[in-house]
Amino acid sequence: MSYSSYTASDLILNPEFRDWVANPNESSNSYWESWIRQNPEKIEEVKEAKKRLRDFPLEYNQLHDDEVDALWLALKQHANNDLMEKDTPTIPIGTTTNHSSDNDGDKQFWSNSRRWAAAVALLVGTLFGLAIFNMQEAGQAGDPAKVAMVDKINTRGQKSTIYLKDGSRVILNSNSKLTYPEKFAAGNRTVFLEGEAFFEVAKDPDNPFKVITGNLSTIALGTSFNINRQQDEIHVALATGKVLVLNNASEQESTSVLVPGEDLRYNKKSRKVTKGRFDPDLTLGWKEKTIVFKRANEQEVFNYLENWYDVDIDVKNKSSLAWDYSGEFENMDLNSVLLSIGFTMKFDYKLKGNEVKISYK
Amino acid sequence: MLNISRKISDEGEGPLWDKFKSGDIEAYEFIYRSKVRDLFNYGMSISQDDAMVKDCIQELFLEIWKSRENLSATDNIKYYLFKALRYKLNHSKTLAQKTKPMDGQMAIYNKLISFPFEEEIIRKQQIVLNKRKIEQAIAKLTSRQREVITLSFYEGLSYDEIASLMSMRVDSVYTLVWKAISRLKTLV
Repeated sequence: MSYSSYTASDLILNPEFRDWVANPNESSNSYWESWIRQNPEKIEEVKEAKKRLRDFPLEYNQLHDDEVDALWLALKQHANNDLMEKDTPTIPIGTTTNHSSDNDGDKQFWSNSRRWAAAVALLVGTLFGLAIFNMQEAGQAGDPAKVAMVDKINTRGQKSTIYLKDGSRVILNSNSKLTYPEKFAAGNRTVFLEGEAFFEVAKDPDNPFKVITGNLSTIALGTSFNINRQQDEIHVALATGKVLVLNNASEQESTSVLVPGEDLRYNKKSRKVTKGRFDPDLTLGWKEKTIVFKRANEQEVFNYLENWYDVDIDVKNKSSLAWDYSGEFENMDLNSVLLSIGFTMKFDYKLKGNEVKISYK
Repeated sequence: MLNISRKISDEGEGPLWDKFKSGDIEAYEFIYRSKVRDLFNYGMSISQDDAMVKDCIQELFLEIWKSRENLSATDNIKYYLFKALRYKLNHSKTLAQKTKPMDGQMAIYNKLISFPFEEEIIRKQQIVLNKRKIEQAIAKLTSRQREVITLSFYEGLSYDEIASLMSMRVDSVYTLVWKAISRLKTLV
């Protein structure tokens, strides 16, 4: 393309040029510096365009954080009212016909008590969260007691995605709990995890994102990683970006840096830390609704299924085969999974409610 | 001062939108909080009446919540909301103009000097200095020019996206931006 007639206005119209002036980085610097070398007669136009962009006479209309909070609360109130209206009419129609006046009372009471139940649950969650927060963060800067904490608890068979206020996303596995502040205070993005979760952290270099799991703290700056805290082991696996893992088990504090593909295992009994590489399918499959087994033994497979599908598995007799099972199931129901594993490992099963009975052939 | 450069296409927002459509209040809140500032900035380029812009944004979000199950799919939430807000504002603007004609330039000026107290003191100096400059600049822009500059410079929309949002041809958008730039040029 010929730039002979290119003026400052043309440069201003170019989105890449504007982006370079507003947020220069290595690649845009080298691109525009070489552009100027190739078009040396345009140096004055570039200067002029830069100056005009810097003095740009339009304002960006800011909304203050407090205002956003207030607006959101008002909106949520309306949205909730809407939810309530939709949810309340669950009284069986049969009873309404005879005592319609009584039933209005019932309905009122029912909806009120339900509201109370929700309020109590929230309060308990908050108090519990506060207690943890105070224990772990005592003595640190700020006034944590002011921050309301939220507990998100997944029982067996349940998975959920949590969107945090800072733009980060957490996928929480079943049988896991995430405790996080309703609102992050400046300079402090700290959450607490029991069980397993995958974190996609919003970039904010001034406010490191910290996940506390027992003795380990994982600190991230805009990155995605998986943490699995089980009975005797904590496992941190890094998918993208960079994290710092702090081990504050009393005697010697140690830190490790992970790069993508690397993982860290902390054994709670021996208090030993091992670094290595992880298998992405095996470690991250759960968040894609995929069950992955690689050379797993009987107990590993059944424990995993119990957790995933919220069932209890009862094994009646001993297997004649040695378990060394590998398999992958994407978004499949328990029947299909059991049928498939049973075919390989030679067992029949019976599924009744939440109970599974396994009998080897 | 131009200091914001954001991409409109937050890729792959489809799943977030679907979650919201299924009634997930956390997804709803996430969408609200991540888009409300951009919507406000964009809205102000159309109407200059900040109370009206806020009302329209709240109304819009309440409407999408109530009719969430019937909304079409999108993987570009920002564009979707911009389009809806634009329709809403232009509709309310026509109504407002019918009832009480409003001086757009004056409204912008009022907004500039009505910052919260602490900030007002700090900003006062700068405002006095820039006041004339801004007034002149804004006087020279038409409302469509202001809208197109906001979308392109502050909200990072591509010329193609602006064209479809404002129901214009791409080359007309380009011309409009060019004219706006040329007018502003004489001022600085």
